[in-house]
Amino acid sequence: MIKELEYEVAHNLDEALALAATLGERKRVVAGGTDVVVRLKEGLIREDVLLDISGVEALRGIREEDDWVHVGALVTHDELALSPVIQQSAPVLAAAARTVGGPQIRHRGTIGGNAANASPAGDTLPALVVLDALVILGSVSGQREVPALDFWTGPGRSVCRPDELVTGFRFPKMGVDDVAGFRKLGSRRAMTIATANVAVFFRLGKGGRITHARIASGSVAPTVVRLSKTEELFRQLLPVLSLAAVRGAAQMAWKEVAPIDDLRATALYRKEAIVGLLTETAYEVLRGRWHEG
Amino acid sequence: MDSLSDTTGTTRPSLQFEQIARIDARDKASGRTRYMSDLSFPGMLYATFVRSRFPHALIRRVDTSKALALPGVVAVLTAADVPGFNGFGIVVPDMPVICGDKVRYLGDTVALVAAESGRIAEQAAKLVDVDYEELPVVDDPVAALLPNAPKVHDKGNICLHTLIAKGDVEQGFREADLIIDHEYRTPRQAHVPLETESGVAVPEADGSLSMYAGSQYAFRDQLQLARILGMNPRMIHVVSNPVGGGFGSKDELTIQGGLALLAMKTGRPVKVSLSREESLVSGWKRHPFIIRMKTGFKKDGTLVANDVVCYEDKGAYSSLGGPVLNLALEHASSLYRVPNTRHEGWAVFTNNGTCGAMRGFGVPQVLFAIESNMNEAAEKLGLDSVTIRHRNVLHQGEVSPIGHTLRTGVSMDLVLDAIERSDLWQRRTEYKRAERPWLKRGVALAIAPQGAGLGLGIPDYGGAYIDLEKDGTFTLRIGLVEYGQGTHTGFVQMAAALLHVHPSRIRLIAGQTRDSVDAGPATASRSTYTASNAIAAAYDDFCNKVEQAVDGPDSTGVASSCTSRDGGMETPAGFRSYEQLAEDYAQEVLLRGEGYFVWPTADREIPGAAGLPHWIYSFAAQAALVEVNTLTGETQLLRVATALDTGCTINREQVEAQIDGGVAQGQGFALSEDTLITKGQVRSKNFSTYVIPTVQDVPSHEYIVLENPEGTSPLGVRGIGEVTMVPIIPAIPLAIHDATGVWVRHLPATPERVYRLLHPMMDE
Repeated sequence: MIKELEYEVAHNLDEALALAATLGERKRVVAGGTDVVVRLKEGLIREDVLLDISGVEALRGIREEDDWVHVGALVTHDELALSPVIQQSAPVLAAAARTVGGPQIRHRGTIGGNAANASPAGDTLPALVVLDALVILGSVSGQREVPALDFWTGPGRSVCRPDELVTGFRFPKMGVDDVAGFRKLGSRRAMTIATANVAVFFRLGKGGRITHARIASGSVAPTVVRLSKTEELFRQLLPVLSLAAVRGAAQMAWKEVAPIDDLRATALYRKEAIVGLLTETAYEVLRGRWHEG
Repeated sequence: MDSLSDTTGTTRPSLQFEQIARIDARDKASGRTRYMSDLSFPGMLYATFVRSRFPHALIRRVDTSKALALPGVVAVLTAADVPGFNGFGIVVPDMPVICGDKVRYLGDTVALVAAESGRIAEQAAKLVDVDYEELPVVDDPVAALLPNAPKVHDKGNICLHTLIAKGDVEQGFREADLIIDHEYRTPRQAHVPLETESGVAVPEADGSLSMYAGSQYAFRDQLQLARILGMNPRMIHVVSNPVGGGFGSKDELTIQGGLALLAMKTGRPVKVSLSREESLVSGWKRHPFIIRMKTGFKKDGTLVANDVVCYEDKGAYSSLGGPVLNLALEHASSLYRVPNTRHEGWAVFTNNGTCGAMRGFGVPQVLFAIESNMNEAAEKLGLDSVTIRHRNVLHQGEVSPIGHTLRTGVSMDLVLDAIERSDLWQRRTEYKRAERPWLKRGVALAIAPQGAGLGLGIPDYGGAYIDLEKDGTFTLRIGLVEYGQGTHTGFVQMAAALLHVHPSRIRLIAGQTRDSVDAGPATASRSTYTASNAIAAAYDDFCNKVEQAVDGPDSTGVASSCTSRDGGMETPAGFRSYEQLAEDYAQEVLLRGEGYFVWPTADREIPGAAGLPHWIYSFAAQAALVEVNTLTGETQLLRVATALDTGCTINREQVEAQIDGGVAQGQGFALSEDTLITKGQVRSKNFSTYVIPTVQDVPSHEYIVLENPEGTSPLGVRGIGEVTMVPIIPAIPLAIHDATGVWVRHLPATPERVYRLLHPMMDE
C-alpha cells in the first residue's frame, strides 16, 4: 500500500535547492520516479516528503564544454543511449544506459536518479567511474564536485548531504586512442537487474599498448568498485590479441570483488562470472585495435 | 431431436475454413474488451484476503474486533461464517475457503474483509489479530514421506501414490547393453497470466448470486460455489469469459469462494483484483518434480526397460495434483516401445505454496527426463538422436508403455520425420557456427505426445447450440472460455464452414452458466477438439430442425436431407437462404440445433491409475538452437523449429501463435522460471525475481504444420495448446549439451547452473 505523504514540486533550480535545504532528511527526491514509486509501494520509503524535481529545466540536457561533456541530472537513459554526443564521446555510457530496464524505464529513469539511488547494481555507475566522471552536487551554499569513485559510500548511501542535490556530471571526452566497453550479466536480455556488470576503459599508446586502464564493476561489492590490480595487469599486456592473455589478466578481478549471495546468484558465481564478463568485454574492446599474433 | 455424435466420427475434409483475424483482436487491442477485473457495480465493496503469516501453523484464535471497528469496514469473516462446506478442490475439496484451525501455506486465507475502499480493506486486514502456534515447515517432498515427518494434513503427507508396471524391469535391465540412470529436477513454474485472480460477486435482488470472475470452467465453479454457500446451484450464475490469461491457473477456484461469501454476507457487490505479489504467493503453480529414471537400451538403441520414480511437490492442497501425477506417469516413457516399465509416483503434501493444473500437466517434467536419457544413450551408442527415436517410436495399434493399445492416430514418426527435414536440423552445422571463441552453439531435438482430454473415468462432455436468429444470422452457444488461445475464432470458423456462411454472421456466447452450454473445462488440450464434435453435432441437428420446419409433420426427423450451401440450405422444398429460413420459420419459435458429444475413452482403466489411459494424443517435435556463453553460463535460445500435427488446421495464424507462446513458456521453464521458496517463504514475488522471457529473449521460428486427421473428430482436429510447449523443454538442455558437452539435469538452466557445470567448483 502506498503511504500518504507530502508532495513538493520544484519549478526551477533555486526552488529545488531551497526545498532541499529546508526539508533535509525528511525528503526523498523524485526525478524519473522509477525507483521511488516501486519503493513506495513496497513500504520502503522512510522519508515523509517527496521532492519532485522533474520539472527543473536547468537539470536537463547534454552539452560539450571544450574537452568535457556535461550531463544534467535529469537526462534520461533513453537520451543517453540516443545522444550523438554521448555515442561519440562516451559510447560506454550510451551502452550502459541501453541495458537499463525496458523502454518505459529508460524513458523515465534519469542518470541523476541512478547515481543518487546508489544501488550497487546501477548500470550507468561503472561507466561513469571508468570515464573518470565528476558528480556535481548543488546546494544553496554553492556547488562541489566529487569523483564518481568517491561518491558512493555503501548500498543506498553516498556523500550527497541532505541539503544537496545531484545536479549533473561531467567527464572528459574520449579521444581517438581511447576504447571502452560495457557488459551486463542478467537473467535475461532486457528488464533485468545486473547480477554483475563491468565497464572497461583503455587508452592505447605507442604500438597499441595500454597506457591507461580503468575497470569498474557493479553488483560485486557494496558499491561500484575499481579493479586497480587488474588494471595493472592489463597495462602489462603485449598489444597482441589473445583470449588466453586477456583472460589471464582478467583473472585478477576475482581478488578485487566482495560480492554476496542473493536471490539472483551466489557470491562465488559472481566472482567467477566477473572474470568472464571482463574477459569478454576487454576482448571485444581490444579486437578492433589489436591483431592476433 | 438431439443428435449424439458418433464417436468414431466421419471426417468432412472438404470443409473450407475462412482464414480470418481473431474475432476478439480489435476489442482486445483497443482496450474495449471488459475483463472481469474491469467491472464495477453500484455500491461495490472491496475485498482483502487476510493471508497466513506462517507457512505451517495451528490457528488458536482469530480476533476480528479491531478490524470491524475501523470505519468503512463492512464485514470481516472467519471460518465460522461459512454457511456451507468450507472447502474446495476439483478432485478432493481439501482447501478451506477460510482456514479455521490450521494454515498450510502462506497463501492460506484466515479471514476475509469487505470495506468501502481497497485501502480501508487493506488496513483492516492488518488489524485482524490471529494467534498462531507455529509448526515445523515441511519443505522437502522426499523427506515428507518418512514416517516421522510432520504432517501437513491429518491423513498424512501422501496425496497420491501410483504404481504402473508392465513386464519385468529387472529382467529388462539384465538384457540391456547400456543403462542410463539419473535424477532430474524441474521448477515450480508460475502461470503469470496478464490478469491476476480477479472478479466481482454480485448478490441479486431475487436472492441469487452472480459471479463475474475469469476462470476456465464456469459450470464447475457454479457447483463448487453452491457447495461453499449451501445454495441451489441454479441460484448461482457464473460469467467466466473473457479471461485475461489462464494456462491452468484459473482451472481451480481462486478468489471466487471468498468473494461469494462476502457478497452474500453484506448484500453488496464485492470486488478483488490480486496484486502480482499476492498472486505469486497464493496462486496455483506447476508441480516441481524430482524424477529418478533408469533406462535400459540394447546396442542398437532399442529400449528394453524404464524404471521411473517421480516425487511431485504437491504443496499444501490436492486440487489436480493427483491427475497431474498420473498424466506424468502415463508419459514417463513417452510413446516409445518399452517392453518392461515400472512407473511409480508420489504426490506429496508440503508447505511449499500450492500447485495445480498447468499447461502440459505433468508431461513437461517427465519428457525432460526421458528425452535426456534417450540422447545420452544415443551418444554412448554412437547413434544420432533421430535414429534412436525412430527405433523406438510407437505406431497406431501398438501397446503403450503402460499397457494399453493405441487405437487412435499416433504421429510420433510423422513429427520426427518432419523435424528431421526442418531447415534448422538439416543445416545445423551452419547454424552452429558461433562468432566468438567463448560462445558455443548447439542444436538438439525432442518429440512429445500429450494425452488430451480428461482421461478415463471422468465424463468428458461437450455441448453446443446453433440458433438461427430472426435476421438470418446465427448465435453459437458453447461454454468453453477464451483466455487467449484463439479458440473462439476457431469455433466461429468451424460453425461458419459447416453452415456455409461468413464467420461474421455468427455471434458466440461462451463461458456463462446462464446463456451458454456446458462444454467442459477449457483445459487438457480439449477445447477445439470438443468443440469440433459438439458444433458438428449441433449442425447436424440444425439440418434436422430445418427439415422438420420445412416439411412439417412429414419429416422423419432422422437423417436430414438438408445440406448447407452458399449462405443457405438445400431443403426438400428447394434452396432457401438463411434470411428466408429465418423469415419463414424463426420468428415465433426458436430454430436451434443442439449438439452433444462425449469423448471416446479407453474400454478399461490402467489398474491403480485413475484417469489413465488417455485415448487421444497430440504430437509435436521441436528442435532448438542455443548459444552458450562459456565465460558466464548464459544461454540464449536463438531459433526453434516446430513440427506439429494439428490434425486439421482451422486457423493457421493461431496455430503459429500457439507455437510462439508455447515455446516462450517452455523456454521459461527450461532457462529462467522458478518460484523460489525457502522454508515455506516465497522469495520470488514479482517479475524482477520471477524471470519470464521478454520479447528480446524469444527465438525466431520455423513452423512445420502437419495435418494428419484425427479420426474421432468430424473435422479431423487435434488439440495443440499444451504440446507446443513440451518438446522444447528437453530440446533446450540437450542443445546446451550439444554446444558444451555438459548435461543439465536440473531446470531451469540458469546462467549460474550452466556455469557451474562448465566449471566445477574450484577452491580460492
